[in-house]
Amino acid sequence: MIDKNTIKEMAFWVRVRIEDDEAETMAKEFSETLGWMGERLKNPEIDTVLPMVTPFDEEMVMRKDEVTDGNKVAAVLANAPEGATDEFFSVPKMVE
Amino acid sequence: MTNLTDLTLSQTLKGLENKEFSSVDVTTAYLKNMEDKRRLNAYITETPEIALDMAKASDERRAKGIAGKMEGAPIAIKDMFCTKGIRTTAASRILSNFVPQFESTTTQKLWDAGAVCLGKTNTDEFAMGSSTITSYFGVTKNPHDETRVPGGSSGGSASAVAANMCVAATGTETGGSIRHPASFCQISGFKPTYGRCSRYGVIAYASSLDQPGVLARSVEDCARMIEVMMGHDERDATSSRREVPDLVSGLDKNIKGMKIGIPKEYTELVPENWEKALQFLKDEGAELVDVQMPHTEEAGMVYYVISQGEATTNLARYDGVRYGVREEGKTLDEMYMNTRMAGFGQEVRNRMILGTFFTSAKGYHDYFVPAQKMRSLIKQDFDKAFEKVDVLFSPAVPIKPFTIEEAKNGAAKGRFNDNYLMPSCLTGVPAGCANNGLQVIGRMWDDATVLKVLDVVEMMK
Amino acid sequence: MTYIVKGKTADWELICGLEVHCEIISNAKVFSGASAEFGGLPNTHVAFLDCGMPGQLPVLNEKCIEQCIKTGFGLNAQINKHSVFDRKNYFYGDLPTGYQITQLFYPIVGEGYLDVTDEDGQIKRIGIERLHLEQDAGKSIHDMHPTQSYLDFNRAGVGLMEIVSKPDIRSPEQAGDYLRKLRALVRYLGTCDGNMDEGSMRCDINVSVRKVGEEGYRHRVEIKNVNSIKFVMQAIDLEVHRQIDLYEAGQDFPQETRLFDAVNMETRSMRSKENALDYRYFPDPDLPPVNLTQDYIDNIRENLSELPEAKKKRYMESLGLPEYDARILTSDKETAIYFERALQGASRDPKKVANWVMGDLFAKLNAEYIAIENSPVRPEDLGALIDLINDGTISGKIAKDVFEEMFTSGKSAAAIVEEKGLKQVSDTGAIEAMIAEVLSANMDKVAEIKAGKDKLKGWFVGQIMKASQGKVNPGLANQLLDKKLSEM
Repeated sequence: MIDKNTIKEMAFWVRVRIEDDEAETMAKEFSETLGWMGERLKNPEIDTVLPMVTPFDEEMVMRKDEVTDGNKVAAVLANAPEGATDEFFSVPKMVE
Repeated sequence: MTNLTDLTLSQTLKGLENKEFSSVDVTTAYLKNMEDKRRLNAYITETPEIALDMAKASDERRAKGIAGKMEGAPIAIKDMFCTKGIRTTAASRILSNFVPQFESTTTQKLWDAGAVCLGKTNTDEFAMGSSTITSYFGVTKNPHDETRVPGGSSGGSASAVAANMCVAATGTETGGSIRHPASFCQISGFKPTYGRCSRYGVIAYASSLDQPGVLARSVEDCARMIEVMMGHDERDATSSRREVPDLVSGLDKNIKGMKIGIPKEYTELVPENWEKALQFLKDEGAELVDVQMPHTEEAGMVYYVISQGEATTNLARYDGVRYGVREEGKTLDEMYMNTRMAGFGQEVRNRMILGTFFTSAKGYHDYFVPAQKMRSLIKQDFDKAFEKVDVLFSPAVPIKPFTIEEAKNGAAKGRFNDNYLMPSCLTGVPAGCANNGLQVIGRMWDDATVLKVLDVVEMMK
Repeated sequence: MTYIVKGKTADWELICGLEVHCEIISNAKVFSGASAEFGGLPNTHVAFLDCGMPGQLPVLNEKCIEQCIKTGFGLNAQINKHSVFDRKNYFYGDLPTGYQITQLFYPIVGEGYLDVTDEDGQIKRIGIERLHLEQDAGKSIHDMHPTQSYLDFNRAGVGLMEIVSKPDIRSPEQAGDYLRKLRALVRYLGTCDGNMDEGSMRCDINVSVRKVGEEGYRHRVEIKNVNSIKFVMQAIDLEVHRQIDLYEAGQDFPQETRLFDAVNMETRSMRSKENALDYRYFPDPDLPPVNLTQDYIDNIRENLSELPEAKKKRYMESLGLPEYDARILTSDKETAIYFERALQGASRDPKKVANWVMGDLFAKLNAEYIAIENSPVRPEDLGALIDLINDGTISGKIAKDVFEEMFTSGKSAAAIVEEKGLKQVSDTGAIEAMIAEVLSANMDKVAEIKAGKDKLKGWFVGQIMKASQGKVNPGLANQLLDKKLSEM
């Protein structure tokens, strides 16, 4: 169901690498899990309910449109990796 | 003088109030213990200077007659809570140099109440696990048997509380990460209703499941500390506006006439003290009612899908761009890859890869949404049970802590067998365990009753 | 006007839809308390949330919801009482959390439409698919370091409305008309400043072609981030021809994302990796759904300013303006405000005011690249000038000069007329004297008129106007000239 290449593609989506043999093993195990879960999720009862996204059951409180934050460049950049300036974060050149 | 580090939180606060000892005294005693028991590896970061400064300040306040609810009590903080100016790592290499410039709401409330910070405790990396072995900073040991794990993910906090390296500690639960190590380390732990404690400043694992909580030597201690941490926070849109109940004064040791549900599905495996406990509750005047929670078995699967799905996007921000450890690369993508490959441990990487599938167009449709529906069915189990009973009672983790060896070689792989713990995380209901390994689960927002019953459960010796 | 492209083998038509991103006007960002103002020193309008710090949580700014609803009303659209935020997942340097908070499954605004009118006054209805609320990304700066890009998150988290049209657009001109209309609308409503130069309004274009008469749709190409109306029209035209050329050469092309290159006048493919992306949308567990009450929605509707369509209708029906004038005057908020202010007061003739605004005023403003809201001639002063013509104080011709003078000096019409003594001469005696003088100096021409060369009368009037420096009422001068000639 899930093959090695799918695992490798998914690894790229989250920007991590995975060796071929690891991907192979993961694909095999994951396919088994999915197969097993697929059977369990065929439970007709699930069509009687709506998906539950969160346990939180209150109406959302919104914030007022007021500027209450910002103007703290030093704190924002305090943990920036090497290459950052006093004003900017820095990354390898993004080219298009 | 008694050994200060043997005292419960309640006893410590009492002693401080009566001027039997100062916060500096008790803090110094804990710092000494922390040093002596470093082999347990309960802490990632110890903050002795900060602790002593805070203790001095607390003593000064007390001298002026000012005392918060946690005044002078030395506590430990799970390293998932961001603490301003104190390194916060989530036990991951990727955050091993991260010093937050802001404070989590719940820890701020603790400091505002006078608590003293001893340091940051170990956890599974990004709280993903139930053994505290996936930490970049090494394995934490169970103080009762150092060849065994303390449970997890709040294993550092549990070990520290059990080994008298702090009087109480914060923890976080996503799938049982407070109750599991509390049970393994024979202490008390409590996870409030989802929305009671702000998640602001708590490093996210799975947002719809994560909830801050506490670990301590008694249920009463848990009540004392969690009461301080609760309350609405305008910085968390999933934080409840309901009034915080008075938890400590609700501990009246009286459960006469209460209906306590025993879910059949939670008793397939029971500890030695189980029958005795049932009799004890009856003797205390409670009515025991058998209830059915037919979807309990599905909890592990639902948790697996939802927690991994949410985690994979919550962890996308750790990319080496704005903070954390970066591994350079020629292109942006190469830098991302190098950073995340070196920064995350294998367990976290694996969960992210699989989580990617569950949020992909196909995985979302075929698994994520059905899992969310199954989550609704699990919630219905609770709703139905709570029509009949006030709380549910069961063992927390009915097994002996596994050895570090077992945990490492996968023999203890716990993904699918925390079914006594996971359903209450999925549904958001309050749940806790007493220091004898027994748990109580309550209705949404009825945190007070859970603690009240647990407090009685803990009386059973 | 239909837009049919003649290929070698067939006639082709365009199928086009636009996705327009409008930065919402608000004080604070959509999920943080940092300023949403454009610009600012790098990374100053940044809260910890906006740079993706761990443990930071989004809290929705109510103003952004209000702005979306207002715009929804302007688009004649369904306002959804229930909407949900989703995470759209991808990695990029300017995206601080690895996901953008947006609304895929349940947007705040559903289907609606916008009617656009072309040069010939033909109305075309463009369907609106949806409007949803989302976060903007940060900015990357590529020219400050040889190997590094610098990141500024001031823009990250500013509220965006993405307005998605149906594939109803059939010509580049129509796309331009739609964008102008949309820009006018959001400016009217005060929900977006519509400034494409500063990027507060940006456009993605979906283009496909099909043979005239063909059913269904062919491959669609998305052209990203085109930043002016002119470029949008050019990009569509270029892409249409590229696609037709490929089809006619028997070549297929992928459904892909392309970039418009205004320098080389071409569209080109973006990296194919981007194209293959599955954005892995799912509901954001940090944000509960937005549930709005009917009262809340009604309240916003009641407090809405007059929408352009309603205004246009009123100009035609109550003010009696022709459709063309009403359309031009309501085409943007500032013009309508100017017109209405110029109209106010001494019961001025709407058509006359319209003529002045659309004629002399527009000409001067355009020539000097001045926006109407910055016009040196204030609308009240233009109105006063028109009053001076109406009450006969000055002639229409003099008024043009006075207007020029008003435009340069900023003085009022009355002051200029007074200062330069431009008051129209209506004193019959004075004019008769002037006529007598001119006639006696040109007796040869008088003889020609007597001999039947009537046309020369005009020449005389001109001479009289010249002698009076234009101050003579020309009607009166004509009348008196006739009288004098008949007496001779």
